[in-house]
Amino acid sequence: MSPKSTLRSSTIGLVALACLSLAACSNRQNNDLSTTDMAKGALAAIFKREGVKTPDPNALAQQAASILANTSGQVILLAIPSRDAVTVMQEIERNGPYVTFGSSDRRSITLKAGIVTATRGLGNDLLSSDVDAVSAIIRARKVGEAYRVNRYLDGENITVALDPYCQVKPDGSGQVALGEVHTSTTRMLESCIADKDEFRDTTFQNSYQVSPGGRIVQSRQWVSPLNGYIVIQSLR
Amino acid sequence: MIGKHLVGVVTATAMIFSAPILAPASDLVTGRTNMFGTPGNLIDMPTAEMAPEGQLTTTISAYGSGSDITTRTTLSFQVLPRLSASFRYSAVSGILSVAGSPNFTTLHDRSFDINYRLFHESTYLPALSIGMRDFIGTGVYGAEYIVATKSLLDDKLRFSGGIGWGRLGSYGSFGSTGTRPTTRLGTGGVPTYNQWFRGDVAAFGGVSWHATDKLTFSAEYSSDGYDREVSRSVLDRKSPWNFGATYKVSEALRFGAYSLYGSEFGVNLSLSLNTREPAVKGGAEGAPLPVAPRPKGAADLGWSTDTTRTTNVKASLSQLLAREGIILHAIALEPRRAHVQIRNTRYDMRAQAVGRTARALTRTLPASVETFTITQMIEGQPTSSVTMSRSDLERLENAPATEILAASTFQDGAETNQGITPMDDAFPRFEYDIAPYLRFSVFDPENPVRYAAGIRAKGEYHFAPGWVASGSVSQKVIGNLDNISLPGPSGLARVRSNVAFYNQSDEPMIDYLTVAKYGRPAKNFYSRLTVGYLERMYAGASAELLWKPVDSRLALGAEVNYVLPRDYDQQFGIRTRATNTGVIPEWNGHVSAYYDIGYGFHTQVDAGRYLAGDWGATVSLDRVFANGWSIGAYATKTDVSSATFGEGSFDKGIRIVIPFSWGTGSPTLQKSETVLKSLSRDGGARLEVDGRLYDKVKDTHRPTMAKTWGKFWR
Repeated sequence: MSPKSTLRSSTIGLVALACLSLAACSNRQNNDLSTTDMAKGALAAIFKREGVKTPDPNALAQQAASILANTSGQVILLAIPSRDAVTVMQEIERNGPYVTFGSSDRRSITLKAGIVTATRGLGNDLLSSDVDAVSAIIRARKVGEAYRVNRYLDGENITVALDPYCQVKPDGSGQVALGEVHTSTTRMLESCIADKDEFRDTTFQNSYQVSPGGRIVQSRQWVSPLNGYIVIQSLR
Repeated sequence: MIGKHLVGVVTATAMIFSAPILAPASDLVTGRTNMFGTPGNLIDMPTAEMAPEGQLTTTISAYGSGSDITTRTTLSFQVLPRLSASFRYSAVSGILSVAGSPNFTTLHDRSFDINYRLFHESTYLPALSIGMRDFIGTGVYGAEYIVATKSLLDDKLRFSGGIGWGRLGSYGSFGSTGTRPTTRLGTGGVPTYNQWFRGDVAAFGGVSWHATDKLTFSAEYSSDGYDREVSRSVLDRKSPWNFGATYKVSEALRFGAYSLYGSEFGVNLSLSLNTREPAVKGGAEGAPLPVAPRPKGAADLGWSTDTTRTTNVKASLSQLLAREGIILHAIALEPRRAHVQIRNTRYDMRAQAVGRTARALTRTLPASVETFTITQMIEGQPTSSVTMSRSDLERLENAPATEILAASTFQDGAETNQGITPMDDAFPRFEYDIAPYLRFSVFDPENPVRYAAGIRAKGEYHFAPGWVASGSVSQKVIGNLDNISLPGPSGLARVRSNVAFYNQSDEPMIDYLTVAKYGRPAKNFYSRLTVGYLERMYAGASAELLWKPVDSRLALGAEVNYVLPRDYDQQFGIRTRATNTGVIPEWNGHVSAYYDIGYGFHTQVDAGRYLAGDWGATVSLDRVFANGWSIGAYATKTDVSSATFGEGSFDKGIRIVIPFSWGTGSPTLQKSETVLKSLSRDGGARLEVDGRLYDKVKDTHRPTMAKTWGKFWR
């Protein structure tokens, strides 16, 4: 065997070894998921282990300051307590009354007058919602009752609707001073209960800090069975 | 005697009807499985309980000691809320072989069970189920039963009582319905309908106590006499009473320990998954870019003649799509309309590929373009075209997805294929991957698990529209798949039964090496011609034609194959058609009908000439979930007698398709397809050519896409 062919066969051997150790190698797009990922998913399901991401408050403050300095659109601080996740999001698109905020790691949330109508990239995403009826009562800071509709994908990717009955009422007043927002507020509570099959006994209570002009500047809203509540703080 | 045996059942029944606290009706669902691996909280006895719909559970149970251990490995699937089906592979200690067969101490046996709930539980009445164990084949565990289950005390207690035939009527019987024949039908593998609900009848019953969230205790009175085991002295049946405790580690993992018949100790372990419970509902993939609405009154028409601008539009669109795992294959730009052909490399829910493409179009195309047509390309050929207006996309972005579906029109891709130019990088292109492979043979009576593992390289060269040259080479590293002994002569040419010879080579093997041409001969028609080394055992040519309108749930197809048997080393050689039991015919082929029944079921019928020249049909029925899971069974009956066919009487199997996106939470086209079947035999065998059209095309058509249309906006 000539030195050249020895070299070649050992190179092929190395490539083959690398492919084995990486589970697979390919030039195909999106062929990077392997049975190893499936096994990891299954193991996580068995042992219910979840990754926890704790943000660094200083880094977050710096990020918020830099975004506020560099954009003219709206900026929010978004926290998902169930995941210990906090992120700063800026306005990336506006479609009529709907404003979509996005983060650099491809997560987004859409608000209509401060009320969450959709999430993307959070898992168990809220696809779309009908919130006009509850929104009107909340922003008018009145007592009232209305239905809302939240739409999700179920485990088969079929759209299912959660349409709870919600009671809205004021609950004291307060003050919000964060980022560029400084205002006195009325705290509004929205208590919802659903009784349909998939969401039997799903209840949640959203709270909103509403400015005298009827703007929601801070809120804690329930978005999905997986993520529970998220906290949104307007920074501008 | 009978009175004594019945005490337990009577007590349980009395408690059901005299209990002071009647709980409201429960759905009587359980994730637990018993010693037979079927859903239920009792031990050896069945109940009217069901698993959650879509639950797929593997249970391994064992009892006995020393050389007398009996194990049962059972796969149970909750087909519908009312219907559960199970497949079991058992190593039964102490069962004598049938007269004339060689003597052995452990019988390896496959069995099928089915349980159907006739009535759900109500406030006063129990749920009622009817079921059969081991109703196909040898009937070692053959039993039929009717059982009622009632929950009490807020579902803390569940009482079950019923009557059984067969093994479940073999202890303490109180009557009989005719005589139960002992002869088996055919050569096994056919329904044992001559035995069902015949012979001695006995009562059984039990109770389970849901003590804590994790711990459940159970006690039962068994009407299974274990006659054959007792007569072989491998089980000492001292008492009809069994007791057990099960512990739930998580929804996926459970253990159980049991005291059986006053003398034995049994354990089981179950691993569960649910086809309707993915890693992340709705997926964990990154957010799409939102629709970019146009400013009011924008009408910019001059751009389409400006080549610099059109080139820039194409480049930015191509880039935006690439970020989403979608490749811009071809584009036609006009002042008011745009048509793009895309290659989707990522989204198993095709509506999502179309939805993300539509949004990318809103972000890149000049404001005057009002109509978008998006065509999915499969193997270089257009399948379906979806047309929608840009104004609707802007208006309905935050509305329910059904609204944009209603505002979209589907067309056959062959109709929109004129006047569109492929991008420069569309052809030629080469794709390859190298990965380890593992091939399994399980549930074989002689040897429970056989395997071969090694490394495999695959490549595909797309050199012109519809033309694909593809090949796969594999090198076995380790394995014992070649230890399969040849089944006896079957009276048919050996077209599959000599598969072991193909597993013996230690040299590189060509799995396939073909040139294929995919085409669209007319609207609604798809074609494929494949020539070369088609599969591991055959070379030749395969031609297929499929009729599938874009909005039809029905498809019809025809396939004709000319085959040459390949050499056992799976390199370039061809061997003689003559085998010691017959000559392998040159031609085979089928006509097929495919139908999406709805309600989650899909059926396929193939009729024609099989590899050995036998004529017949294959019927398959699959439970298909919208997320891509599919679990079903097929059976092939040809003009070969069951005696000629050999063990199992005819070819049948279970097939399971697992979409990887379900397990990972990220969209991917990758999926795993598994077929559990009896030993490879020669009757009812088909050619395994790659690229059959229906599976390639179906997911891009309206009926499948509409089911998960919510993914359009995801």
